[in-house]
Amino acid sequence: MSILRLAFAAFAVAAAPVLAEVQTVNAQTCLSCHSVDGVAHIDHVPIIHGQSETYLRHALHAYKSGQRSGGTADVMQAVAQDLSAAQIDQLAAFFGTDASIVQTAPISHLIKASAEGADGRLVYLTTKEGSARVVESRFNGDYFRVAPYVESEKFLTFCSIATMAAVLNSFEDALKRPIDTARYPYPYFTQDNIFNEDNQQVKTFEGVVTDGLTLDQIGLFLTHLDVRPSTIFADENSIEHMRNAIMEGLSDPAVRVILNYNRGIVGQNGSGHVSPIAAYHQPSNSVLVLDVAGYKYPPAWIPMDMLYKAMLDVDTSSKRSRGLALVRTF
Amino acid sequence: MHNRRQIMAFGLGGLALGGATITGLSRASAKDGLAEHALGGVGDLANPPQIHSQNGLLQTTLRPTLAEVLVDEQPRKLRRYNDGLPGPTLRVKPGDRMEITLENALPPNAPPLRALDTFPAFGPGDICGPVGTTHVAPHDLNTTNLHFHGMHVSPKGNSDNVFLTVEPGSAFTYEVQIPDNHPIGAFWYHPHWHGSVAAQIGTGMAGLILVEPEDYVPPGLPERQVIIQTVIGSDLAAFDDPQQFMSLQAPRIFTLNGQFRPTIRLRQGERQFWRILLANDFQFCPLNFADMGLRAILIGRDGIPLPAPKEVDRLLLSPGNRFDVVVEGAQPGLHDMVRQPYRHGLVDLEERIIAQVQIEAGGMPSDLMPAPAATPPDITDAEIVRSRKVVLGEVRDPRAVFDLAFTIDGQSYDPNTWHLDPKLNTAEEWTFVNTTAYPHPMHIHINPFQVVAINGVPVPDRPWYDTCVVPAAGTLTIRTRFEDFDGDFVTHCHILPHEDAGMMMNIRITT
Ligand SMILES: [Cu+2]
Repeated sequence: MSILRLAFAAFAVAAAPVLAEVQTVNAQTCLSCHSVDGVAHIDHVPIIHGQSETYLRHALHAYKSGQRSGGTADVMQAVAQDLSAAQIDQLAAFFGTDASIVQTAPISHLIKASAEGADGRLVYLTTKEGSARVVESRFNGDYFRVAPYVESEKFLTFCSIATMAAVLNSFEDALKRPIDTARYPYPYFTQDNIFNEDNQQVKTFEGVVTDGLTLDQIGLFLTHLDVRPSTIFADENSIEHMRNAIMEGLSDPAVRVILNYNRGIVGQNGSGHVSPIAAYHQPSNSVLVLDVAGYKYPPAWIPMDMLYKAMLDVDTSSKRSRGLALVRTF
Repeated sequence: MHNRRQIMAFGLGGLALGGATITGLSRASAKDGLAEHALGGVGDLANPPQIHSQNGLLQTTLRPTLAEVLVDEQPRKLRRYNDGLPGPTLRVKPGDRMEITLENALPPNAPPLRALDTFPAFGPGDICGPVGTTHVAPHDLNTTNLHFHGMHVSPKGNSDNVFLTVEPGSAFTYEVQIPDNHPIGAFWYHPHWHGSVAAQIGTGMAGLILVEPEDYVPPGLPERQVIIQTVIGSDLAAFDDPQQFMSLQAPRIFTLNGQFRPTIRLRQGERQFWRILLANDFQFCPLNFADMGLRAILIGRDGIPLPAPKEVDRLLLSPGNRFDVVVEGAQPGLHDMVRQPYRHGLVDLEERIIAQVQIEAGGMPSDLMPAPAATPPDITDAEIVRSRKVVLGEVRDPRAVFDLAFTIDGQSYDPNTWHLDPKLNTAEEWTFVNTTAYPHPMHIHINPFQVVAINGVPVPDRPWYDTCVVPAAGTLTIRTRFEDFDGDFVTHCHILPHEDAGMMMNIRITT
């Protein structure tokens, strides 16, 4: 279990014993077909994230009872028939949001929900205060370099892959980038071509879809992508050292900073996560994290002490703490 | 050094050594559908060696070996029948009998990849195969058997019985009686031992079987066999690593009749009869004939003749499919034969040049076609005695590679479950319901099926297949008649890593 699998522990319908888990449906099962980033991946499969909770609950019951069946509805009927009413409630609550709020302003709803969890200590970029900090920051260069290249992770476990793609693209022509057939003749890193031959030896595409990458594995991937990474583990370094590493990385145009943290600890919904760091704001001692799960949260300023705790979290896959990966071009 | 078993095996198989050897009443091909037309020589794709039946009997030996072979100018480790990639083409007539000795000359199996005692939660019931691994992961990669894909023959005894085991060093003689009314078309043989299927087909074990009467192909119409394989192209040490060959992303080399990016020649206006077989493990292969400068007239799918020839621009080849196509040189020039881009669930497979088609100007126009052949009658509503849903799924399972196993009706392959139990001489309608984000080309042994709907949308011409794709998160509705043969066989996904990871289910036809 690693970076993002944990994110779903809370939503997995039944808990742990290995054989029991095999029988359960969890949110990740749904997400293998339903979009995670607002883009439909399979033609006839609708986007369910952000649908009304009530609607989703009714729909799942209609599939379960066979009221909705025939054609592709048979697929959902097969999935729903073994769900209990409680499981349906859990899944509807996870994917759904209160309809009235979604209709008015989905983003502010998310901010509201997460700000409550964090006791208001996270400041989102989309607030007045959040954008003011970018302007005030003396370490904001990477925001303008990296932000244009951030794309949402294409699977829930692809935060590390989406982060690497954004960071590597931000080096632009300083780095030899592959040409993706869909974007020919322009060189561009995608969440697919990060998996070159060497990286598939480290972990296959399916492997990462299953349980993401650890910080060490991120380092290994990067060595195969013509950059020099250095990984810094929080449990081996003081908070001052971690902050200095972030500030030094942000000050050097040839360096980017990747963060591996537990977002649950900063009060957001979820757990192990990876995203680029875009700026440091001295007056508030906070760090701007460009979230690659943009469908979930906008970029957030996270207080440094809170971020340090989130980096000290132990990744159950690697049994090590989380931390930073500094990426340097040759 | 041979162990006792091997010595016995060679004793058994001793009557026929090597594939193209003339044995018994069969003979290696003197008559090649290309050579007669001065094709298949230097600079043109040649047909594989052929073995014909004689006086109603095809008698031969298929002998798989493991060897290092140059494929794309690189040495690759391949498993091949009779040292050929692909194996020899078998040519038979309806009513013939095949007597094929499978002499397993593959090396002894490596020790199991995962010790069972690391999974104390699993008891002996989870074990299959002689060395103790499970039904959801590859094992014993050199144990084999034979399947006659698509053929309407008995699944029992020493006929098309995929439950047989032929260990390395041993031999077994199959006897397959082809009925007089067998459909006319293209079929194939390949190994089908649950646990080693992906590894063995992925390293080259496959060959074509052509069933047709005398004079089916008119003189003057060159017959070209196009056997597309996608052998695992890793470094030599990793060729048998399940972490690799079980993955869609594994390096795979497309070959035609064993050749890497060959050239196929024809003249403008001239016709050739292409017997196309996708004999592979994982990747789909959509083809576009117009892009190859060809006009294409489809006459058979999966060994079942169409009621009338049909012009086509494109064909989607799923692993295991055959298409019999009469092609005509339309646009002179050198054209790429491209595996068209394919959206494989959530993964985009890029286009890949797999061969070139050279069309020379100034040919003699031809309107030759193979002889007409019978299509089975449509399966009517009145014939259907039962409708079933067959649900395809995936589960997390620590015994499987990538911890991912596949299921049919909620269970990974269980050799002791028989809940698909149709009656002989009835017809049923099955809807395969795919709850995964990946397409699954489902294959049913022994009896072909008619596709009636995809994702609930009726398919107007109700084509016959023995392998057809169930779309990602979609449904495929088919009808099939259980005719002539009772007995036990299987349905499974023809993405063979899925099959070895559990996506297979027994069928028992009862009288
Ligand atoms: Cu499959």
